[in-house]
Amino acid sequence: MFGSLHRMAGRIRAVFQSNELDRDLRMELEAHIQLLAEEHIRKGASQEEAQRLARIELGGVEQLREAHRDVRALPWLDTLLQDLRFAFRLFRKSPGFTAIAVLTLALGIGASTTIFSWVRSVLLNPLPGVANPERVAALETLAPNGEWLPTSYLDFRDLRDGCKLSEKMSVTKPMDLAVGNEDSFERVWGEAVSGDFFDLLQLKPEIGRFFSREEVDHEQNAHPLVVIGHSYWASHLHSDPQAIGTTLRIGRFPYTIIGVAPATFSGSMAGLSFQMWAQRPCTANWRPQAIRRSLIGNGGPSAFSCALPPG
Amino acid sequence: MENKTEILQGTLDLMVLQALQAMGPLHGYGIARRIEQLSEESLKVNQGTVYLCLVRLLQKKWIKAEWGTSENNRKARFYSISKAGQKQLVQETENWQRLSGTIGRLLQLSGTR
Repeated sequence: MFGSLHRMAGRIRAVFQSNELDRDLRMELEAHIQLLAEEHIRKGASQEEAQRLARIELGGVEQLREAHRDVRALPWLDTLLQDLRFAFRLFRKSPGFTAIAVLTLALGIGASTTIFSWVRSVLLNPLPGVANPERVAALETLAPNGEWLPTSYLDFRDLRDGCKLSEKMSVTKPMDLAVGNEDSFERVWGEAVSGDFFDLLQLKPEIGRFFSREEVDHEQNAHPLVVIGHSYWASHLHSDPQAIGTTLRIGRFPYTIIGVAPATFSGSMAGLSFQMWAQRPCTANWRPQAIRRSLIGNGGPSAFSCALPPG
Repeated sequence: MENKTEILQGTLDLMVLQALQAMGPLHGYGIARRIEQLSEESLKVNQGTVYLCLVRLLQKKWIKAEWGTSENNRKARFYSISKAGQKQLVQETENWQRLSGTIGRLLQLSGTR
């Protein structure tokens, strides 16, 4: 076992020392021919005749070199390297063709990768990080003609309390938030959520906490609290645990950071990535009738959640 | 030429090991010559194939190789048998004798019928 490994290593080495080993063999064979020739000269052959006879006696040097290579190295690896070198030379010879081929491959691979990542995030794994995504469903209200209808907060409350098919129901609304003060602020995509949003999705915070029992009261404007995404925490707050308890200015209001969502979680909408979750932030200028509803809920007697895309 | 026998696959290894064991370090030419002499020219040895055999034996670490100077003052590679090679030679010799004995008996038997 060990011996065969050793031999294999030797053979692989031999592939890369090919030129050197070839030179050795040529030298060796040359010495052999000269010795043979001298023998023929002693028997009375002329100088040229002796050389000729010696070469015949030894056999084809070129063939021998090939066979020698096959024995000492790995013929397939040797051929592979030759083919690669050949291919590389051809590419160098026709750069136009090479450029087009490389471009075609790059675009093809790029497109497939993009499509796959979309398919994965939208169809295969729409809610990364969520414990039982198959029990979560999205609900939205539609008019009989299929048009998306705005839903008021009061409608949501009625649905939540009256719907027997779902265990829990939460509401979300994507919004772009202006984070920072008047001098320098940044647009961050977040979701306005109701208090039991994380509870429904069965998420555990990376650090800090999510909304507590008392905060799950669906009262408007009651709790200026925010949960931030893992990547926002890393990029803006240097993953500092001390960030919990500090405030962020969102819109014109200070919000207290209470927790960081797990790294895998990116919000309640497939294919989109959100960075902040507030209990319905910016509610000061939030008009219930301007909001469309889409409820995420769980089939069966389990959970129910709902998301409200922008009105 | 017609009366010369082709060398059986694998037996060249044995012959080369034996030659090195008996003669000490030899170069390729010397090994080929030695085998031809011992076989009293009844074996057809393609001298080139000796070198293929030598690589194989080197890989198996049954022989060692060293550059030296030949009798006509040329750079030549000298081969010598290793400890593992000597062990192998003993084993192979036994195998060979057993095999040739068996075949000999077999042929005698079929000859008597």
